[in-house]
Amino acid sequence: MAMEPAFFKKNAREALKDQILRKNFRGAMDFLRLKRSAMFPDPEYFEELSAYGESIKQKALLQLPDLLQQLEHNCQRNGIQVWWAEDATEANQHILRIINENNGNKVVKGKSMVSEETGLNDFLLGQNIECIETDMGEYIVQQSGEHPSHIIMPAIHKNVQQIASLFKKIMPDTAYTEDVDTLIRMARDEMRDHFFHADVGITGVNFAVASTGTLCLVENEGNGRMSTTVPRVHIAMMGIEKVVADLSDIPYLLELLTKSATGQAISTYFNMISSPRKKDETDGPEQVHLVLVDNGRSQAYADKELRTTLQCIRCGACMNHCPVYTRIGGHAYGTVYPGPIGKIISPHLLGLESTKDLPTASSLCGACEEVCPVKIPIPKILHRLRVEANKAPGAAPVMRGQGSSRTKTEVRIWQIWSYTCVHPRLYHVVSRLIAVFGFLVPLLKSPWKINRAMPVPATKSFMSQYVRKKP
Amino acid sequence: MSNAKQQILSRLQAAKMGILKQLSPKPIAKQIGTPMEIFCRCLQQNHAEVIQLSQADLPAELTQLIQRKGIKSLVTTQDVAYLTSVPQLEILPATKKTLLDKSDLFYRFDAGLTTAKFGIAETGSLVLWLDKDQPRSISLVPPIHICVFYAECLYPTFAHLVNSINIYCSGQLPTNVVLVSGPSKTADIQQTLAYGAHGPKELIVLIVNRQPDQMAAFGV
Repeated sequence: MAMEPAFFKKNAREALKDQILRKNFRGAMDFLRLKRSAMFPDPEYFEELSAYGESIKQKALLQLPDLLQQLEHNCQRNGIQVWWAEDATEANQHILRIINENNGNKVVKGKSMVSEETGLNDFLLGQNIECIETDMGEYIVQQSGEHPSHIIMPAIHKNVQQIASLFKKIMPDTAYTEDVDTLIRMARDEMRDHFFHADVGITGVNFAVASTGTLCLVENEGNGRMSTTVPRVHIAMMGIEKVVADLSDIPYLLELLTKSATGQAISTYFNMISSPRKKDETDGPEQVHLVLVDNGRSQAYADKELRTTLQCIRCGACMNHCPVYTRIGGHAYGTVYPGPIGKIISPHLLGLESTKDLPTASSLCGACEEVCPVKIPIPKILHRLRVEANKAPGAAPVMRGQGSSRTKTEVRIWQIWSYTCVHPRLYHVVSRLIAVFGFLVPLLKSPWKINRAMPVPATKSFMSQYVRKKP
Repeated sequence: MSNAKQQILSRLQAAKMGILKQLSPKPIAKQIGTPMEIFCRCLQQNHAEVIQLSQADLPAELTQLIQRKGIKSLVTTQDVAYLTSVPQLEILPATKKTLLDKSDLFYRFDAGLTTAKFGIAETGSLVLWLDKDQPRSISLVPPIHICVFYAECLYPTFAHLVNSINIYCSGQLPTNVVLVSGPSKTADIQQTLAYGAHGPKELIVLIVNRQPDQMAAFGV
């Protein structure tokens, strides 16, 4: 499957035929949905909490430029070095420079979706720097030469047999086993050595607190804590939308995140980092760097409606509840962020040229909006992106690649249709013709026919029947 | 000001802002039981072992625990002189020198003993206040984590704790604050839960009930 959104339709057709993949996703999605709903037994409480979460994020977005500067100021005051990156290339260059300045050649990485966005692993490999993924799911995916298929559970597309075979292949001295405890222990032992020898730890950031200059990381495994404790240098990467005003915002967002993502009241670890190791402290990194990444986010920010995309706290509940994602899985999208949130964020990261088909892959059923912990109106934005993808040339610029879906034939057809509709005589002539020659319609070549039966127009038009029955 | 910073900020500042609709009221979750009951229940549900005891019983309980778990080596910042009576137990005080020797910590020590500064009842979380007195690695690297928690430091929710932190710390947090709510775990292989992914496989919480004259203001 090509990791390119331009191949979305082909990928989706292939994925639908893969019965193992469909079974893996079905099982995983049912599991995650049940876990989440057990955490919100009272719909009124979920409504209150998500409304509050939404207003925290909206308040933060309204002050975004100020909060980013405040975050930078307070991080620097605490001894955290802050770097700004317009795009993936610039973010990777910052990281490479920091690694080189510290003579690093071994890097361990906690989970970071932004680093997937920038293609950091491949970039560093090209510079002869080994970058090991340490989250169990990310490790499995990296060792298989794949990419995450889910933003929270990266290896969700694989079942235990597939992972057992993979471990046998990458650790040939060990016996084949499908016992999950044993598999996790094997990976743990392998990773201990990596943590031990790593010079640099790279992680993402779940929330950044502007008022205190604090970076917050949510995790269960402890690899995030390892990556931010053991190596000499810690580099955190974050999208600019992750900043919130105050520490008092954090408890609510954290509750919404862990309950929505994995159905946990709280994750095992919630790690709040406010500075590098101080002079009299005995462990922790000597340097902490924060790389602030835009990469298309400010484009979404410019438009009030599209800006709501940036409220996202990356819980993955929208994909877990999406009928399309459940059936085709995460890889078919060909983007770093799959599922409903991926369909509305990817066009900003990559432009609509390659992503124009993504917003159309939805029945607009609204499940994503219903479960979203910060009330992003995903169906409305999908609709809006369809409009943007079909915009006429010369329209006011809103986003990269607008008008990419627009074809001359389609425009011509709609022009004829609207002209016909506002000219009654012509309309009657055409509808009579269609009634007579309608039986030929199924012979037309049309993409409609790929998955559906072609409807045949009625042999008598509505108007002719209406006229006949008039007293 | 770097070029990227300037560019990003100027794009953000150019956007039409709009006004925030009224901030929604803060939600309040309902829970059954006293804060201490909820705290213990949540920790146990998250696979932690919970022992409640008095200050006077701490040495005896800890000694017994170490023997029961077969712990041969313990790294700690606490004054645990009373543990020297445990036969064949190696105690490593966490000083600058010892923690720099990563290989001991990574490959040799069985357990780390720490103190939590606060607790959160709603989620069953221990709040580790990591600074010069409390290194990060002890609660993370060895396979067993034993944590002493003083019952009077329990807050009903994280939001309550944040209020206190905002008052007492006036915008300056310590180097690292970690909420620990169970042993390390993962469900990344076909949603099957396994403990001890990268951090400790076991978490044992000793909840100590102190007399009022033994307590300290704002945590330990």
